Amino acid sequence: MGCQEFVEQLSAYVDGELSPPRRDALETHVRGCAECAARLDQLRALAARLDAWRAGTDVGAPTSLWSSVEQRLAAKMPTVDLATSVRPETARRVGFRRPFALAAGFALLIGTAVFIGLLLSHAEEAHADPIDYSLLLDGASTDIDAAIQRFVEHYHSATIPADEAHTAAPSLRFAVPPELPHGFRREAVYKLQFGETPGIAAVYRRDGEPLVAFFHRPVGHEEMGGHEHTGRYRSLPCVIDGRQGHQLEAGGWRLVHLTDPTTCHCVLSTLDPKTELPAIMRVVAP
Amino acid sequence: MTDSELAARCRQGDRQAQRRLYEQCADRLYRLLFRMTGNTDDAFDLAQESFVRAFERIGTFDGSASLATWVYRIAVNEGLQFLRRRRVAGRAAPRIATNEEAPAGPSLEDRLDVADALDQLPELERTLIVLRYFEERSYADMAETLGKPPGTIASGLNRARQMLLEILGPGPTTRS
Repeated sequence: MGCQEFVEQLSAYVDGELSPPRRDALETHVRGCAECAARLDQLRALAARLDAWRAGTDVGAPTSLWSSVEQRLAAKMPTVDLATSVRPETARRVGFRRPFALAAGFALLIGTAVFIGLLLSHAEEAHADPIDYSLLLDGASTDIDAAIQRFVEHYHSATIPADEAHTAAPSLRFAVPPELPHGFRREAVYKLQFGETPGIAAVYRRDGEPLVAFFHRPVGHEEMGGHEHTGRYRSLPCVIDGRQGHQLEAGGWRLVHLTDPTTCHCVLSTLDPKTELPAIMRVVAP
Repeated sequence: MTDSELAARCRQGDRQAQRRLYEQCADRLYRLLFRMTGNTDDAFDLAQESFVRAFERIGTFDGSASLATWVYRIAVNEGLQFLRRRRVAGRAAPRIATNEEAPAGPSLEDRLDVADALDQLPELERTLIVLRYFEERSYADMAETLGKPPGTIASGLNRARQMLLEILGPGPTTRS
């Protein structure tokens, strides 16, 4: 067997996946081949480095994961408590003595479920209340932190752990990682309430300068996305990574939003929408 | 309760049974997806999706592997599909493991170097490294999980290691 064939087996050897005869042959070869021996050392050093990285990724599931799974299940599948469900013999007796009452009851249950389903689907299709971003943009150029605070307080905010953001707003699609491109680090995540629908705001900061990402249900089909504006801001269309969006400018700050069927993704920052913002939007608006 | 009994109860919509299966799998599954994707948000979404899919498909569980392994394989494939979609979309993976996220371990710089190197691997190679190094799966188990021949697993890992060595550098050796 040539050296190259032994080199190709080194990976499986490190993994303990070689048969005993192949392992013995490789070990004999390595004892006499400096190149293969050096390669083996490199693989072992790589393994040690990956093992060390592994130690840093020993995380457990967030406590909120089950509740988010349960919500999805509740929407798809009804819950059954087998401890309290009707016993088979009782069901048979009812079925035998009162077939028509049982059928009528079943029809009523189905009809009620359909009615409730229609109500819920109508509510699902309803869009969020219009959002007044003038609370944010007025005063952004003079005191941006006060403007951000005013906005989140107006919309009944609560500070939440980042890993609970998706549970707080399960119908929205977004991401709020600990870090964003261009050196922004996450500072806080808020749950907002826009009428009946929840939203999320995540505040990031770089060298003291904030960047805020807002996520909420689309508020309408107008070009502006239904955001209230008073004509005080420069309003422009924009394209981010081929996706049509819109931006409002006020005193050096830009509020850029991209909307998809489930979520309006808005980012307030001083970043250039052509050169710097796309990397941010790619992360927060997957 | 056997796996078959648990699966049957889950299929009937028994929430307690579903919770029980979730608790058997959640930590391991989330950790796998965190290592595959490199960030907690994607891991959360994929973990949620994996469990929902598992409960939807639980009627197909045939007992050839343990129920926890069956759920785990669903998660591996969800992760792999996610990595493919991310590559097709041309998106960079968000950084993993800042001090805020990870327990004490190697330096932040070293973690980011390894994380960066993993991000540069194609999705199959990254998945193989995660399964081998971090999940300690055998070649046979990986082959069954991914639906690929064992030879593909071996050559894929060989290729992945070569790529990582090229990205990270060979590092120190003990021989002169």
